Amino acid sequence: MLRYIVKRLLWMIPVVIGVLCIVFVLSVVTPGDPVTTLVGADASAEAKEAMREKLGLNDPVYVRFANYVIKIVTKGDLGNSYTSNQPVKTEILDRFPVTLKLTIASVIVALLLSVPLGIISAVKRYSWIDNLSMALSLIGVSIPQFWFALLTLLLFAVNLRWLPASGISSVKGWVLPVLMIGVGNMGNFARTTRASMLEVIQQDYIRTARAKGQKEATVIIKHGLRNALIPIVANVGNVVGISLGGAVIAENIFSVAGVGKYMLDAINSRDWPAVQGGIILLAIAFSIIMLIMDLLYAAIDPRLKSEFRARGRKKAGRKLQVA
Amino acid sequence: MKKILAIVLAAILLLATAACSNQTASTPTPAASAKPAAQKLTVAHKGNPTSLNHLTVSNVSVNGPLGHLLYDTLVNYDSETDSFKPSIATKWEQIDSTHVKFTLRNDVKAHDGSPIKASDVLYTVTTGVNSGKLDNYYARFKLEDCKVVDDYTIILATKTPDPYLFYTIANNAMGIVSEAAVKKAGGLDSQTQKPSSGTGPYKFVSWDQGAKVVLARNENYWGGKPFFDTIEFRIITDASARMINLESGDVNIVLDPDLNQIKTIASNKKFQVQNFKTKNLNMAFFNTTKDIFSDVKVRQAIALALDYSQNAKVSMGEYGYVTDSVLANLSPAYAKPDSSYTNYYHYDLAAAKKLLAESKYPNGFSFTLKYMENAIFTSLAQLIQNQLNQLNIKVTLQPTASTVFYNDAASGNFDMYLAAPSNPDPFATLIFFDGRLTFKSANGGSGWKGGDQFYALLDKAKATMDDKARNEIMKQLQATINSNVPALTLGSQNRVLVADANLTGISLTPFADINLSKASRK
Repeated sequence: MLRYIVKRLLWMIPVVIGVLCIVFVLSVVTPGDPVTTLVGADASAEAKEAMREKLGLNDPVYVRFANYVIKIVTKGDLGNSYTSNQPVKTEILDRFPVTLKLTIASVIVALLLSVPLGIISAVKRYSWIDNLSMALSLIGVSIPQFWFALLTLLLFAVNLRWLPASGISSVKGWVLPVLMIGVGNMGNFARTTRASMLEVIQQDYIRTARAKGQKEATVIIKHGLRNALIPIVANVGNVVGISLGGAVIAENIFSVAGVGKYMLDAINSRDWPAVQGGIILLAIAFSIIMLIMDLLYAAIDPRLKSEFRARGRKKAGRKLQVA
Repeated sequence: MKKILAIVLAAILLLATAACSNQTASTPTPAASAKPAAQKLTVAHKGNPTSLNHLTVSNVSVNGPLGHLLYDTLVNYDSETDSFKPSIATKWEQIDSTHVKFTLRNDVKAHDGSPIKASDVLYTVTTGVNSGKLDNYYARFKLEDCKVVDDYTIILATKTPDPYLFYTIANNAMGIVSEAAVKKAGGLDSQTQKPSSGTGPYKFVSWDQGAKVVLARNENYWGGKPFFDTIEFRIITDASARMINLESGDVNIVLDPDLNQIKTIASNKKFQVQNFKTKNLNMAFFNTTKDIFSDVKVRQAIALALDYSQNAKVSMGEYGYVTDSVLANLSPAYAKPDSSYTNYYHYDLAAAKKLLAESKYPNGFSFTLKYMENAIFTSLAQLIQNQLNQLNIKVTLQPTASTVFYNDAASGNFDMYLAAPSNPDPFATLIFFDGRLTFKSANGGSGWKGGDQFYALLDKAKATMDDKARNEIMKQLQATINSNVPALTLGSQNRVLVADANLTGISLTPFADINLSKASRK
């Protein structure tokens, strides 16, 4: 298992380099001049040229790329933001915890609401409760997040005044952003849970468990849900990965300083060091999340765990034969 | 299934109706009854500042409203009377056309306690000139002739006569910075995020990147005790969310509201809409180096085909006004068009068709209109597209990202573009019509060649310090431009904000930023 983890972590290096290459090429071919952002639209041609020279933008592309990679590898330096002139690493790391908390909180809320809903739907298939929960999840998936956010703001912040309209300095402040992202994910999770559970509860071992007289709750939770979890976990992994860079709407509306908003602003102002830094961070975070999800599969599914062990034994056996 | 769907949809409709209802809950909750403390002002701001020190970055509009709270300028601008009042400088004297002597107060201290002297003014100007990031403001100064006379007297020199210098001096891009405070803090870069070198009425407290900036009253402020204990700028990029924050009581002022949304709360007596007229002018620049627009009759025909009052009404409503010259009506050099020349900035479709028929393109043509996307420009671009259709001129609209847009304007890569110059100095607008400059050196413009006589007049106006004599020349310059139509004038947009009804003392900076330094509650 440890060998597998190390191998996966090493695989992140070519992934990050690949992502870096793509982003760098995009930054070169995308029209727009970052110098305008730095010196202002009204600056003289001389001032613009001096800034271009200072940033090394007159150097050939391969020189710029090499310089950039060397700085990252040797100093962990992602460069300075064109707009704020501050280190990109600091700016991103300041924002990342907020995005991470928002993502995790919204996924937890979505899971708490959607998994029971999905189970009930599957168990009570075609009943009114199944229809209701699937209708709700359909709405959750298809409702525009932006519209839903404004609606909840009007209701809870303006009319009822139960919750603040912006800021996350208090616990109350987290409720609406988490709810907004969570509702979107909830529909997705509920539908996956239902589909997965429907498949599992028709299996022979479920019938056997029932025949042995086990309680229905035990049959559903212990034998059913555990076996249905793999697609749900895979879905959660994807959602967490996407949310880390994509909670832009919630961040914009609720005044949450996260990575999504930071990167959107950076893209708009052609602040390439910020864009590149953000994407590297997200690529690493996404890879780590995928690794965690893979490890979770093994923890959930004994078949995968034994497969890992079998592979390990085979390799050890081969080594012994060679010796 | 259908029944359940119907029930669910009905529930959502109810939720939506409840959310959109104007009525507040009948039972006041603790949050509802808790009014914001009188001493705290919360401002909904559209973007995260790029710096809290104007000398470290190029001037960006999101930094503007904070700048006037953290820094003082040599002189203050009175937007109501379009005049200048003492600030750090108690008096000033124009020694000659390129030198102004300022006498400073002797009781001004930076936020870290360092006293402000003439050397700090020189430090500010020198840093601004050398940064290369603020040429719009600082390139005019001739450093070698700027001179500290004594601790509280300084002479500032400009390269050429500069009749409108004070608009620049009163702007926050020229806020005075204490050299000692900068050094004590470890250099100018330290001021970007934790400014301590300003002298303004409010001091820096904290900056939660991308979320909020908190300022506190400067208890030692030389200009009397500022009203608010704290001012918090909350960064809310979405315009609808900014307005909802005002309605919910989470903020007290919304800067840069969406003009279409103002109507929804304009009738609510709890709020006020402040509608400041500005010198900002929406303009459309022809690229006269292109064959189509090198024909003056084409440009004149287009000018006559536009319905100016309708366009101003549709794009800006009551938050703007119609203009009839290449300088805004509030510009100090504006001259009302008279019968001494033909002005084409009025709607006359028949005359437009006649002129186009006489031009090189009697059957119409097509061109691309570039603009940076915002509500007003989008609306104006669509109106131009529709109205020119009547002349069989097909306009392709091309909304463009700012970094691409500025680059295209400065390289002449456009047929026509929309812009709204905000510099109140009339010469900053007239530079776009100085055909001796390239697109690159003028950062855009029309490429129009006005001829030697026009250039001589332009130079004469720049060198004339006497207001009356200069305005006479400016009138001739406008007459030449207005009759040759190298650009279209498309109305002036007001600076609008929405705030709690009891807030007062809000004004405009010379560059039409919101100035909250004297804000208070009635």
